[in-house]
Amino acid sequence: MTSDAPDIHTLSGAYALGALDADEAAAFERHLESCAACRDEVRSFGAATASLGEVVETPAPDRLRAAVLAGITEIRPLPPHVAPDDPSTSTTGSGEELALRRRARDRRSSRWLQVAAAVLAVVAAGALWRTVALTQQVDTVTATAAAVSTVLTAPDARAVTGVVSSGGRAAVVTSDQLGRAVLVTDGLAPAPAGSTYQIWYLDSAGAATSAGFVPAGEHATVLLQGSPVGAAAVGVTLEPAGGSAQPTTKPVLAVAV
Amino acid sequence: MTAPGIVTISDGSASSSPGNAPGGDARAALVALLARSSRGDEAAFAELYDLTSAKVYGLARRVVRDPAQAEEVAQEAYLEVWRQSTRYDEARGNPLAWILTIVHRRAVDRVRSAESARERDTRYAALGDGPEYDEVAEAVTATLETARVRKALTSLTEVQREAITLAYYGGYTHREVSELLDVPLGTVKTRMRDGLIRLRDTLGVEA
Ligand SMILES: [Zn+2]
Repeated sequence: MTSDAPDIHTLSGAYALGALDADEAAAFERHLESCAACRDEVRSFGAATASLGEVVETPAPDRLRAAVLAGITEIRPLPPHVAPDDPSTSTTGSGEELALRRRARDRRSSRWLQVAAAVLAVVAAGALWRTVALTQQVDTVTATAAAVSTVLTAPDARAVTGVVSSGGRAAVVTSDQLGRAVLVTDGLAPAPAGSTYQIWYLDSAGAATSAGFVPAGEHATVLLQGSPVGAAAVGVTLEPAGGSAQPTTKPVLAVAV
Repeated sequence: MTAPGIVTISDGSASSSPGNAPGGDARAALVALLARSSRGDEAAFAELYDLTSAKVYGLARRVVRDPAQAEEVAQEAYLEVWRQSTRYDEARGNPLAWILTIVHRRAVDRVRSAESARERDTRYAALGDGPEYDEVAEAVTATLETARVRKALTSLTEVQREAITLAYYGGYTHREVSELLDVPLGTVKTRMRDGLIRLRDTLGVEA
């Protein structure tokens, strides 16, 4: 905390804009614990950055409403106090819990303490962000778990299974009604270094549209990007890390959907 | 003024839906809807969705650009809002700001994730051309708040404005902004800070 670079205070703007990478954000949050000036400043930027967000409007597609309202039926809102077994808060651990406890206590307290508490909450949100960035894959799975279970339990859900030629097996579950599909893998052989498993929708003419990537690991459940409606098959190919615009190798999996 | 990344907010119709109107009524309505949502009231959340979806989807779309990914980001953000609704504290500020912070964080995470590496390259490439920026900007509606923010943005210097818009709407890190604008990193940091101070003071908003 005493080893901060002399100009670390100037990072308040970049931090408020979300423009620091994970390591820098962590360092700045440590700095916030000991620097009241930066805490006040970060807090004072909150409404300005929110205003930037408020002015960009685009009508949302109707299916988003349906997906959101279906999704919330699968999720229980958090109880008033941090549940120790909650997956997203347990990864950030005591930091957020501490901040929340302090906030609860501070409601009866002076205005000064309320300000400090608000800043702690900002720090906690930042810590959550950092954790999310570090565990992107896990988080993506968790965040989409509700959407996944919505697909898996859809009344019109259909499942097809296939063997992955590079090792392992896979199932694709589609719901035309929801316009979503889920890929589940089991015992998937690791992708060779520098490559990644990319998922594709294939139409009856053989045209491919990227539907995302299979995260590393033997078992994965992936909510595919885009809709399976109109697709004839789902395929998986090995592509250079970062993915390809079109498949460049022979599929290791192709199942008709 | 035509440099990449500058926010171009169009003058559209001045009409605004009730939910988009700035001011106390919308705020109070959202506070009440969040409170009901935290008790598991799905109808309340549907109302909250209707009042906020254009802003939520608009911000997601603005940052991640790809419509399908923006939809996923918006969906994930709404599920998080539902789950965290108990955590919203009125004393902490505007409920819409709270929601948009969640959306922005998820959108930025998305553009920075490994999965998006390819799209990220495309975003860099597209910076030279510019037109891609207008595509989303034309969907921006002119409300009172929009006019206010637009005016505030014009009070910034060009480097301040570009640094802030590339970071907030583009999801770029300050290092990337430094590279994109060909301005030293130290300058980018101070311009982001100076610009936000000016924006905050011009908008006259306190959290
Ligand atoms: Zn400081």
